[in-house]
Amino acid sequence: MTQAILSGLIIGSIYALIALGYYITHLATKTLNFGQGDTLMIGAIIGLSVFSSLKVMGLATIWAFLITILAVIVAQSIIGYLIERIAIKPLKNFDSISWILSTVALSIIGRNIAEVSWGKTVQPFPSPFGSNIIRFGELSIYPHEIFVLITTFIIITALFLMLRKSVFGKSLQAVAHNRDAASLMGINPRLIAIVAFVISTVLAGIGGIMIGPITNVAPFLGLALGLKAFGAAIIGGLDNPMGILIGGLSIGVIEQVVALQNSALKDFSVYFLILVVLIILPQGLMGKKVKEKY
Amino acid sequence: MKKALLYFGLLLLSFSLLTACGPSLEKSSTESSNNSSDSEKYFVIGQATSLSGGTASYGEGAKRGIELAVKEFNAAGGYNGVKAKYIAYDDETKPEKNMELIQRLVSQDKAVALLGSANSGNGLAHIEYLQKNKIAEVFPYGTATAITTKFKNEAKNYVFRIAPFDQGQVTTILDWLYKKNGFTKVGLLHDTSGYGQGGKTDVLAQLKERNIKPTAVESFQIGDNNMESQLSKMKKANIEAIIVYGLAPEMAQVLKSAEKIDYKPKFIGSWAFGDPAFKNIAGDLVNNDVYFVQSFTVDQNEKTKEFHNKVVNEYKEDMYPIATAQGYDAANIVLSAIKKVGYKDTEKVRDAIEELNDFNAVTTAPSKPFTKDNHEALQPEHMFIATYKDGQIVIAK
Repeated sequence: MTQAILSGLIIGSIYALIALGYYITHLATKTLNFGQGDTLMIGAIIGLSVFSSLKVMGLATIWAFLITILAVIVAQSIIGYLIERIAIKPLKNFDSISWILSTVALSIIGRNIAEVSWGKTVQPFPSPFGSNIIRFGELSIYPHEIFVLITTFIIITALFLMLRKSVFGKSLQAVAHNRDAASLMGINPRLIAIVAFVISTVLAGIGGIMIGPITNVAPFLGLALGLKAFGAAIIGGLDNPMGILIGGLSIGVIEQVVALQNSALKDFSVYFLILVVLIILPQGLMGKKVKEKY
Repeated sequence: MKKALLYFGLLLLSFSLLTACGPSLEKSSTESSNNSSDSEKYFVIGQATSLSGGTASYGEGAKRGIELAVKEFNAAGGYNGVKAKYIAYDDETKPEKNMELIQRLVSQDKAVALLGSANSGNGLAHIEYLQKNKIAEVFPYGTATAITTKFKNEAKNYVFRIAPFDQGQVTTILDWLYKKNGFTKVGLLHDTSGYGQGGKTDVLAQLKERNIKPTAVESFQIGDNNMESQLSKMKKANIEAIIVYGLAPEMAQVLKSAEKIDYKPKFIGSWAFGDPAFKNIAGDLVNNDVYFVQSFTVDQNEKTKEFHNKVVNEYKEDMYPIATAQGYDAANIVLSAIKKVGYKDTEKVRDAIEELNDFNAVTTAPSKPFTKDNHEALQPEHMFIATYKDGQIVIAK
């Protein structure tokens, strides 16, 4: 049971990281990138390609890994910028829900291109931290999983602080609260929207590098991950980063613990939980209750 | 709007550039012919199979064996000077595309006989069309039992196979577990796809016939990356051997999860454990007591070694030895029949395949592979258990 909980926390922290991408764009633009899972897949593929190429060139693992992270951040920033320009900006009005279709369409295009140019085959992503298992009594963990846990918590805390304390974070919230008033105060809502999408895509890319060595990499990698991360955001509350973290970890733990009882019910349990939360607490466990006006 | 289009173009370009730098194992080749040019007289043997998609390694492996067989047939003069042309189309493992390509092979390319598709579902979907058109098909893979039995009650069954069929593989696995090794605590771990569910049905049915109950039955989904929960339960139940029914990526994750929880049972499964994609993902873990059904291994005898060398000479590698060997045998079955009766009457080709009695296989198939009632060249007695030793597939001692 303890092992199942530990494994659940590891995968759950990645769900939370991806889900924070939903949170940031939702905060700034009230839109989400429904292709977040596929954006993660692109990050994983770029990460694996760069990492293996650098290793082939004989670069030391640690340098190869650092350059890989940098390359993924740059590439994902470009992709995030382009997603905002193509799927969100032309729709003019954030209140329209056409962005659901446009982001899904872009994600399908991205997945198909990845399939055509990279192949549909699953590829192993060697962890830069090796594959020696660390054992503590009954518990066992890969060094990469420790890295995932620590990095996720650092990123989430940094993001949390940035959003609460920095001028940028406040600008984001100002735009979310009242776009026109924020604009009058000298904040450029369009720029804020772009930055939000860039951060969201970069988070997914880093998630891709982190999850690659756990799941291996293939163009269809992102679909289920994106859905479960969305579940994490729904369960925790789309407007509360702490809630999202709890939502992600809960989904990870629940699916592992349920699998311990009956493996066939693993996915069912997650989606059932999402449904229950949507019915009883539509704003999520820690989300603000807001009455929508039409 | 113009700007959005420009950005869209840029996005497509960046996606393709970024993803294209990755290693790609798949080939998009759609046609492969031998040395015969179009002006020469030739007859066509065709195939619509997976050259991309989940079963691409099976498709490519067998394609190489078929190409070799065709090359040798043509070098030996063909049929009275008429050479064979092998056309292979990539069905991308999609049933609708497979059906379309089969129709093209029959109506446009005028194929006189076909070689089967890698994916059983695709095979099952198109065999009726070939049965109606009286075109024989020999499967070098596609192991669903129903493929050769669907038309067994018709006057003439046009479907043959030289690959370990599913029920035969299960018999071989159970004999190894219970008769040879005397295991008493055996578990079954299967995926929830059609392949895994089919395997589960076959295993449970044959266990019932033997009056044996499996100690545990667990499942996993396609795409699952953590089987620790299922394996922990099996570890607790002291299960000594686990029958695994799934595909390469998830089977590799099974080994990874077992390693993580420090559980070392014997893993045994269908020939899917021999898929190079499995070895590629699982890495050194393949050497951890993994056993599986084969009809060909390089270390089997001098003949298999010689064939392996021939493949390496031609392709610089032997990527999937059993698939290449079965592809070679399947093509040779068709070509031997054509050598006897010619290529003009497809019904005669089918009859000659069934009556073949002097066949010299590189796999364990007998000299008379088929009879009227049996269209499986490889019976359980021709299948054996192999394992990995230092990453190479060898006969299990």
